[in-house]
Amino acid sequence: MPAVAATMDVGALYASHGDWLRQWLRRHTRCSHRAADLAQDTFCRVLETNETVRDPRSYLSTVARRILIDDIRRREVERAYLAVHAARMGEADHLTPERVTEAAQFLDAILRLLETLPAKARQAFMMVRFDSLRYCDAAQALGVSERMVKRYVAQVYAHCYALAYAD
Amino acid sequence: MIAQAAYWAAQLATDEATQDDRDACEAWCQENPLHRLTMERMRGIDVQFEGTDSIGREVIETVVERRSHKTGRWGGLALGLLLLGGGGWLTAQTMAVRTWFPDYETARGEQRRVTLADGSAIAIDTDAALSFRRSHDRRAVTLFRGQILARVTKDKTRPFIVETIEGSATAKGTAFVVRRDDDATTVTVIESHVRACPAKASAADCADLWPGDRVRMTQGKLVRLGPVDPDAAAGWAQGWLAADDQPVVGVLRELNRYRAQPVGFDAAALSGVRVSGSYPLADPDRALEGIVRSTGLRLSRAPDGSPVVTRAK
Repeated sequence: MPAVAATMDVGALYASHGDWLRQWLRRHTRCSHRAADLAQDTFCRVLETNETVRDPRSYLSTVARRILIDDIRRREVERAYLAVHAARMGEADHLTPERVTEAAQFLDAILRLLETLPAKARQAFMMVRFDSLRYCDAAQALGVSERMVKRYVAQVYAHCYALAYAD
Repeated sequence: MIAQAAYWAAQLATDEATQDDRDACEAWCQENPLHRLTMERMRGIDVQFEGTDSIGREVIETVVERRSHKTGRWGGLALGLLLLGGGGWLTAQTMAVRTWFPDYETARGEQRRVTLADGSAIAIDTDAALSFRRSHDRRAVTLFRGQILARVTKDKTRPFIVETIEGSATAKGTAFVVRRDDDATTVTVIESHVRACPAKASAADCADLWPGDRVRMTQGKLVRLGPVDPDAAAGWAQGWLAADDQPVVGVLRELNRYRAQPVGFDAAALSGVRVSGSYPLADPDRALEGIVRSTGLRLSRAPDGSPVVTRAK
């Protein structure tokens, strides 16, 4: 397999490995429509990054893997959103596909910030930030001191900062 | 420093926060521009949580719960891919968060051009920091420090706004420059038109600006400055420091924004000396030589090796 030159020719990459990538994705998704969409996204991502590539197939599959994982995550959030929304609102509020996608994207990003935190810290943060509880009330609900709740909340902010501005 | 900013964010998170807390946080920000930058970013992160309603909150809990307690079909697949991919996961995770908090910084002497997610192009001048957010009803660049030239793509439903602490500039057309230094923000229109509003002001205090118009905003007030040549005002984005019969002191100050090793000079001694010409910003040493040559000033070296400009004897 020839190495691709310094400035990557994505067109050539697509011509020589496009079919292979779609097959690779079909194996992992068992759905040819989704595989085609994800292959498209993969090449878009490649266009944006403009890296030098030695081994195109291993590079493409690395990028595709990330896109597939992102897709799986977002679908999971979408399903959860639909379920919660249906339970709360019933038929009263009509959801459009755009609204679901937008909400899932938003919540996925919030989840990325919050999900790797210890449960107590996350709960403390959600009580203070989402439920607008005061520190004393959050402390009572969690059974810890007010100072501890504040430390949890600060921990979450520092964690988000590190994720957002990691270098 | 991040821990301190996180402490302030927590301190100010509930309505229990007092004016004393806010003053103390502000005092900390004033200690050091880096404190201020860190705090601004922290607020930027905090704002993202605002859109979470009770449905969103329950979704977050549900998904976290599911991911931590069972490895379902999809979880299994994700895990399999993760093992296949080696260390890819953390990078992807961080990258995804970062695209959510886009953030550009330039070093002293560096200029960059970036294309934002909406297709708008931004030229970023030396020693600048900014972030970009796009939501359903607006596109907003937050400029923390330094100077940018924005060339904005049309989007009627989402106005393009550059914000600083001092005020905002809303694009009604295409190209304009926003610059923030010390405690003032200057807006210069290159093409079409822009609406500038000082922070916390009413609509009556805003100004509509046309090509060549320049305003300065500071402490909630807006002042119109004399008209400028739009091409010259955007010259830095082409890599040129352009001067048209200007005091050399101001031009040297401007050049120092690009230099790792600033040029020394006595402003009082050089008053009255004027300079014209275009000097290359990518090569600040050559720019300095050019300025010295066209003014007949003298260039020497201080004991520490840094350049010094004086009047020729």
